[in-house]
Amino acid sequence: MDEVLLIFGMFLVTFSVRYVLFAAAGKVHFPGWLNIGLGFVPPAVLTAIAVPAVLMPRGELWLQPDNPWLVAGLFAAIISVWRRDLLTTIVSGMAFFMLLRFGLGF
Amino acid sequence: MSDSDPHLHELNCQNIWAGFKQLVPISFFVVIFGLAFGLAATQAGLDNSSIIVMSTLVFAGASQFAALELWSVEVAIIPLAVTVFAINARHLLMGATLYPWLRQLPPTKRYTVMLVVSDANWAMSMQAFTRGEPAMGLLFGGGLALWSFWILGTWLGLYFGNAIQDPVSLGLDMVMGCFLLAMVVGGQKDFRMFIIWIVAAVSSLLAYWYLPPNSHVIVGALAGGILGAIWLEKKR
Repeated sequence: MDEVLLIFGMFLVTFSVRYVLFAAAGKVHFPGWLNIGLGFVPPAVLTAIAVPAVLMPRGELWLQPDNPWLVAGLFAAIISVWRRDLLTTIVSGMAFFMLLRFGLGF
Repeated sequence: MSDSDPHLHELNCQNIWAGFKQLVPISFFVVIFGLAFGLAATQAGLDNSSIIVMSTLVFAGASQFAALELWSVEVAIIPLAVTVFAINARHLLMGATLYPWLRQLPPTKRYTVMLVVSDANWAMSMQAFTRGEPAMGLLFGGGLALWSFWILGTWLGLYFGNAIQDPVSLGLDMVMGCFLLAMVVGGQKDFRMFIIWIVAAVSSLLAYWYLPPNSHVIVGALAGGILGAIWLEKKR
């Protein structure tokens, strides 16, 4: 099987998923309830990616204070509420995470 | 918020460059993952040009890593397509959320912008759009930053991949975790949103355990979105 052909197939899948709605784009207006529901999709997507990543960093539920992903995640959330700055949150969250993992050997 | 205000959709060199710069810090981490992908792809037996082509065209980190696991002499096409689709199914909803903002763009521009839509630039520009700020430059310029750094990282991985350990075992994936959490708590905060976080979190965990692999993101997103729509309908 030709590698390039397979890769092009992957591209078709990822791009059509991104684009399928726009393909038929006339001047369709979504009904109000749909627009409202879609407004909640961004936080829901982000939560659905982040929470399993932090609670199950190794594929199994790890709800203990020695889970550095969980502890650093909570720390990052607090920093984010306090400082309200994306970069500050990422840098301090990562620094804290690395301290837990490699400094304190969690 | 109004999706008909033309200046919200403006796309020019200045706002694209501004968006690019805004995503550069996060893109540095994207380089590290690109590097890991480049190395892993070499080890999976893909040749260098295919690897670069994949990162350029597919531009979906998790799908690409998953594809490597299915890569062998005889690649099973259906499982590959299903896996790539499942991991990227959230883009259907992401496209829907962008629809009101991109609808007015001419088709070529729309296609081009959608090519570089990824979690980080989508989340940041949606937050800006909802506040009524123009964010087309952030979406496209930021996407260009993520995309070019992903390709750069992949290319570096072909040659210098051995220089770093597996970034996931180092815990560098936590960068994305911190980013996502910052975006979640940095957005709107009220009782309804709090319940939606919980519903999205719990349903994604349940999907992770009980539904087919890679379905947890789309399940959590749908659950949160549906609850949000119903909740407001009742209150009206």
